[in-house]
Amino acid sequence: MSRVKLENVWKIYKTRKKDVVGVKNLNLDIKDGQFVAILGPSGCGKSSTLRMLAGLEEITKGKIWVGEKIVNEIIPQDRNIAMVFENYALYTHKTVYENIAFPLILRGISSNEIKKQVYWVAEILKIVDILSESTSKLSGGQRQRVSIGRALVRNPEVLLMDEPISHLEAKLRTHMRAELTRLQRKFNRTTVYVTHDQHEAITMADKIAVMNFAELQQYDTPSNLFNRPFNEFVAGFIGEPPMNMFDCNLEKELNDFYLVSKNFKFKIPDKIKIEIKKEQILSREMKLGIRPQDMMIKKQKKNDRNISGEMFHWEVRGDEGIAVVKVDKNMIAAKTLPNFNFSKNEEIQIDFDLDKINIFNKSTTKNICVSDKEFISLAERGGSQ
Amino acid sequence: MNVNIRVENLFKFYETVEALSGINLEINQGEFFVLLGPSGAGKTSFIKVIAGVEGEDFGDIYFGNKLMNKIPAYQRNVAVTFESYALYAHLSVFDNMAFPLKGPLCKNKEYSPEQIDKIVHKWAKFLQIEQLLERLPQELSGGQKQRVAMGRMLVREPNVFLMDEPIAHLDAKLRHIMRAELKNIQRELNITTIYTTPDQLEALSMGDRIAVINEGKIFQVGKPGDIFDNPVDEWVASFISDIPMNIVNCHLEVENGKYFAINPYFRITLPEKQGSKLSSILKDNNKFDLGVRPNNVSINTSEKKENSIPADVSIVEDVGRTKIFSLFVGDMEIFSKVLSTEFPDNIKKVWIKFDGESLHYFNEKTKARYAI
Repeated sequence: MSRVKLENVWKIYKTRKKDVVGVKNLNLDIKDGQFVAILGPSGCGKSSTLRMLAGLEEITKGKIWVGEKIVNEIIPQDRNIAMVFENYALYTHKTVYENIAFPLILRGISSNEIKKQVYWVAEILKIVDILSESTSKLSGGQRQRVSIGRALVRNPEVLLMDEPISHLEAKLRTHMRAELTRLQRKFNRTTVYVTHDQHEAITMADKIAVMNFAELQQYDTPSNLFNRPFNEFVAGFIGEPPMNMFDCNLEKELNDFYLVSKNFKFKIPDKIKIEIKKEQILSREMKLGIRPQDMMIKKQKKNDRNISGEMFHWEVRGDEGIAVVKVDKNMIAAKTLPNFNFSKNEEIQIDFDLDKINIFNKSTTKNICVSDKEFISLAERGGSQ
Repeated sequence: MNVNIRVENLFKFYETVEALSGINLEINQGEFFVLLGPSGAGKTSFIKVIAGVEGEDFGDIYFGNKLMNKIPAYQRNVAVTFESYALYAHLSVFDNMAFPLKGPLCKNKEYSPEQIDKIVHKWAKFLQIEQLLERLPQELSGGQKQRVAMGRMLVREPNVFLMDEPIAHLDAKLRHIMRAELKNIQRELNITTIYTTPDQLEALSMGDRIAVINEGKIFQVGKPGDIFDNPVDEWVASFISDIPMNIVNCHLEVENGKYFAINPYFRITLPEKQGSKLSSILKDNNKFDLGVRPNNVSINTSEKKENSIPADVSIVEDVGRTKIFSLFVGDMEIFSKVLSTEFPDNIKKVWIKFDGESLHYFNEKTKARYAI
């Protein structure tokens, strides 16, 4: 039905001096009804991707499939794709009803049918009571709902959203996040959502495509991105505070692998499978990655994996705390309980959950930990690998 | 070099809009005071009026015992940072920091080049940016830029720091380190600081005390823990936590010496002490609003005997190691925040329980919190 597939898609912008690659050899497979977020910093190619999907921009190379059709040559209005923009793009001199009805009027649908459709959408969006209001009187959240209503009333196969809530106030954003997710589940339309906000992507999407420098970094579920980031970029981009990194070396003793630095030495647990390629035998320099959530701060050194540091700062924020610890010259963040009790400059030990570590090759920045389950999804990641 | 600030009955109008309506505040010497509120609450207006960049329409501002109303901005000896660092891109770090000492508004003193050199080096050393003095702002990291901006404030040895959402635009990844640095510098120098933010986490983590402001009025002033644990009303209770507090309209019933909170969808027992106190406050009108934070709502996959409330799972957000459930009890939406390891993925029906020790009670009409 409305599966969306991007096959080796490139976007190259030609400028007078040189060609700029906006999207590099992107492969994405979005299943029917799935909610996929494209996440990345500004300039990573996420909006270019969305605009190519919508038909607002030409595809330089590659194919885009919507359902059974290749849409490369199909003009935007015939693609049956609806787009919601950040700034709503509503007609301010028209009422809510007229705004939602507009795409249907353009298609020459009878006014009875239009009325039926508009009310159907308005009921789901809970905006029936404001249908006769002018859009200029509405709050940000209401306006966004109207613009979504206008997109949905055409009954599109695919819904595209370009940072639809990023400029709203924090509280309203939390609310709209839940609402958009609920709406998407209800309408069950294949949805592609572009955002630079990791929190939005994590909480809303079934799957996330993380992009950076025009390339796909990882295409995975939110929990896989969090637990097994493919490379250092993803590790740093997902999670707040970001994953902490410690320089270390990979060493082999008998049949076991150890991570060693001047701060710690421990055996990599059997549970974590590591994939070692030839080039990595030459370079044993690694980075140990640990999430702030998986760290515990202790007073005494208990075992060889403990990392000693110096308390720099501690902040409590309601029901949790964040400790900032100096290890060598780096600042490390660890989550703590709200009743944490340490003083500034105190010598402390960082312990951590061994099963939750990640190990990155320092030269390639790739994660060398792979679990059985993820070998399967490796194929799906495709793209830049 | 610090001073206490007292503001009495302060008003500020923009044409007919009341930006500040009758603010009374006392900010102690050396305090890190956070003004927390949504956009449009009056935070920036307050900073501008204190700095003297804009005049007040009514009310008094005191630094120590000195009335400041008529004193122009450059003589108030306050340093202000606005949202961007506003460093001069074409000037080196040294020249950026030296600028306030040479500027046209530096009327009270004339500094010789040697003096300027000494002052800049003193603060650069303090901020650990001595090695950066020759660089241009574009060659600095976000954190270094912040320190230079601090340095430029410090060379004038101000009595008061005013910071208007200084780290709001920064990369989320760096914010926890920025907060730690700012707070440490402020601690060390002990300069009276007013810091505004719309972010409740930032306020809770940085402020010695917080004032919650909305629509130009102060709703509550207190230590972070006090405001979090004893919010003055439903609005503050919701604003101060990252996921708003669940608030449910209930009525109280007493039966065999036990107290029940009753709602069309549930009937739960209240802890005896709280129940009896509530009953003595409510008297005949037995209606009230029950509040419980999402992290005090526990979830079970099977029914537990007492106080279990059946709920339908609407949405589950997986945020790192925690999960946020959006649940429906009848047509009421309830949020719950739990550790993600505790639950399987595709559950539709659950039983929730409110932690009896963490309940809040509010007046149904005024929305004010009962001290229970």
